[in-house]
Amino acid sequence: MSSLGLIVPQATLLIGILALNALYIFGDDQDDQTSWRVQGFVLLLAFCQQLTLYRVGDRVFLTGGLILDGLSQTLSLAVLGLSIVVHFSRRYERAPFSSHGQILSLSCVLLALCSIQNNRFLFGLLALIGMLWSGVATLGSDISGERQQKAIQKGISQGVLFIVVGTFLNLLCFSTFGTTQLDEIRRMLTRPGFDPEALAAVQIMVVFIGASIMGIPPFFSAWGRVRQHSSWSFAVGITGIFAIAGLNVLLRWGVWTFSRPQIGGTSLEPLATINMLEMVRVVSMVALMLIPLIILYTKNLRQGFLTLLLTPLAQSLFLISFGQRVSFGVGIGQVVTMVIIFGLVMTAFIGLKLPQGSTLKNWLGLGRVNPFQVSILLLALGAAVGLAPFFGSLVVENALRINDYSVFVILANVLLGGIYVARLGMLAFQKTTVKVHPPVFLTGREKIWYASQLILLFFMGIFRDPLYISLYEYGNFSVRHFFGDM
Amino acid sequence: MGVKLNLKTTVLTLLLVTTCALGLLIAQPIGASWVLVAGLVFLGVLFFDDRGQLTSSWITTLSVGAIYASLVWALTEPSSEGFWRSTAGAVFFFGFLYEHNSPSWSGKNLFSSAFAPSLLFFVLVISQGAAVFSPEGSAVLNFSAVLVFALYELFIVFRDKGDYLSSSSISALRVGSCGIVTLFFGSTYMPSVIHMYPLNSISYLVPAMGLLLALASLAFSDVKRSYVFFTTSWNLFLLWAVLADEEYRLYAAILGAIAGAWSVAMANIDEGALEDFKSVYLKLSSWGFPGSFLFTAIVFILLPSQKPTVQLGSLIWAITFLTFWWGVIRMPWPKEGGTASWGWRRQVAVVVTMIGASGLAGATIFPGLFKAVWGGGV
Repeated sequence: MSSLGLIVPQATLLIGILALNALYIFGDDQDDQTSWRVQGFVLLLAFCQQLTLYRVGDRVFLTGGLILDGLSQTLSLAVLGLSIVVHFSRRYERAPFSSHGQILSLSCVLLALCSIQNNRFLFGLLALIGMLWSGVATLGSDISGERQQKAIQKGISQGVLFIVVGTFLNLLCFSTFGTTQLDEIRRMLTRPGFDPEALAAVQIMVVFIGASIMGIPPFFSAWGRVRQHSSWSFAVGITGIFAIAGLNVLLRWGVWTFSRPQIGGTSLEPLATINMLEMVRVVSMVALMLIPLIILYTKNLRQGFLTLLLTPLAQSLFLISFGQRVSFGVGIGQVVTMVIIFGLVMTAFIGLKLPQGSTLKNWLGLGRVNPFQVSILLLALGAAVGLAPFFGSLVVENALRINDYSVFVILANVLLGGIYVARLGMLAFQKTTVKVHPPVFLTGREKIWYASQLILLFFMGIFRDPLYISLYEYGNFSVRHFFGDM
Repeated sequence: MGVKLNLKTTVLTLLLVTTCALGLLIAQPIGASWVLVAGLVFLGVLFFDDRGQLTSSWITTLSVGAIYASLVWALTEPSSEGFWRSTAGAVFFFGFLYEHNSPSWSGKNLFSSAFAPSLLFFVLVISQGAAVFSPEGSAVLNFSAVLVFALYELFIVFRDKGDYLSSSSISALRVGSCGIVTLFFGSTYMPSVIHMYPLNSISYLVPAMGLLLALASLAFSDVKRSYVFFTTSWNLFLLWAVLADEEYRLYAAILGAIAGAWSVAMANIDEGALEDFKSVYLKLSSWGFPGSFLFTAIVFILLPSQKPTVQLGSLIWAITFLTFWWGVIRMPWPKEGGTASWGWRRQVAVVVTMIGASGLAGATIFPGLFKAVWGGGV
């Protein structure tokens, strides 16, 4: 297989965008079904194409600066999987199928893949900015009037901020290393003589960009209130895609570039004066503490759930930040299960048909009216927090095995997040003085769609070894590349 | 006397049987015996569930299946961390099952929620694997987790309508699961530090807690709340039996775990009056009164021992059960009305308590038989 084969999924997505454009220009305005089917087919095809790339030889670099290894492969699959779930959920949400919304969402997925598989700061940053703009515009496509204008304006201004930071980052890289290619920079860093202040500035900017794109608190200003007004499927889906892309920035641009495998290949050691692993750990620790505190004080359900959903990635980032080979596979495994969690929360919340701006008052007694949807939502939130028997508990367990007192932060995160889920569970089945919404009856197909995701999540938790082992040592899914034994 | 099977019952039975078969396939020989015990508990409770509580909705049915799958997975795990994590999964599903099936309550106190002990259990068991803890610290966390599981229903019993699930099939599953987890942990993973000072005081602490629960139950005239204290105490009793570290006491406790779970499911203590002899027999049987399956299990576990800790513990437990029985005798039982409905399952239940009692008595006389069966695996 030619190395150009690596860009086949991106090419498929690009053709899909062109096809949707063609349908938009030449097709019937009322024919939403055709464009929906085209988008679904393109996403499924790209997912299958990406899946087959595990057979390509390990660590392939293209002249254009794309990279393929276990991390980029797994994260790309996670992005494509999540976009497929979003796409099918929109049908159940009965959200309007605006053509420009579909084109923008597909563009966002394409740019997310480009940013994940990129081997250069420069092109990676361009992809991220494009992803940010198309992502915000996707969310804005669900809104109308003045809110839409404000949302898009906010997105553009955020993009400009990233352009400024990214320009400084690239200038510093050019002046310090003469290139923005990540593997070259990593190779150069093994030799002494670089200005420690310039290195520190590059590292800080990388962490800022990664955490901001990821959306973890306190870096979550990129969104504004746009997610509050858009459709639920786009809100969750775009949050997930950005979180995965941000995680990639922190791991690829940060951890991978500024560390190297120790002798024996079981752990990573820093290459710069500032330990990148420790920086990432501090960021993830702050996020792990802030996420549950924010959700416990948030009455708005949508905002609470969207913040809570970042927990698996923050836990994963925390575990990976210890730079140990054994825990790396578990951390990346959590990203895969995160896709199912996002999908479940998305579909179950859609199934409840709660109005926008719903608070805990609307939640009270809802479990008695819509037990199926509420049960699935509660279990998915439990999985997001990291409770057993789901895969997240393995992440918590692996983190606690590390001989460091900072690991208790993840325990506090699970405890506080668990309190939130327990409170939701308690309130869902209680007496209510507020007029509850009428029950929402699900069709048999919808129930099967919901239940199949839940069963998959449950089995990923109890039969965790296949997932873990494949990420640990199998072909291009493995994390061995990080630890230098290729 | 026809057997009425609906779709949910059939699905749950198939789930339990299939999971049990899979568990037997993947388990080590000793683990296979435990998988069988868990299967007996769950299938037995499903059999005696004449009120259809376990199949009242698809959510309940699938949750019971998930609990059993998590429990079987725990019993077949090769490491203690895996065992505890999978058990925590089962306990999480219990929290969900209790909240989903209990009537609405005020919901003002998070500690009265069934999710509270589930969360506490998870935090304790996941912390025990932390590298920063010494073996003694991990052992304390393990035992704290077991205690939380044993005291599970005390969290919810004090809320309004908290007595609703007392003596229900869900409660029976909880009692049985807790018994199996306690005994499996004690016989397989119990750390050696537990027999060293000061951790060995747990052997005194557990019977003392049982006695306290018995005394506390006297304060309730409500039979259902009082029964929660009894079942909680029963789980502590099994924990004490495994702490004794004597082989025959462990075997007896395994039978006690099955008998305890079945008795809770059979009892149906909120139906029937004193006029109905069979109903009274089953009710008393669920309190471990003479002549019942449970009573023989008590006697079997309280066999004489040479260890001073066990001797003292046996004495405290004997006083504990006498206190519970005294409380039952002075409790105002309904004298008329509310005749229990007697289906074929309840007839079988009466027969099982009688035959089971004789069977246990036989095992007491021929203890080698049980050892041969258990020691040989399956």
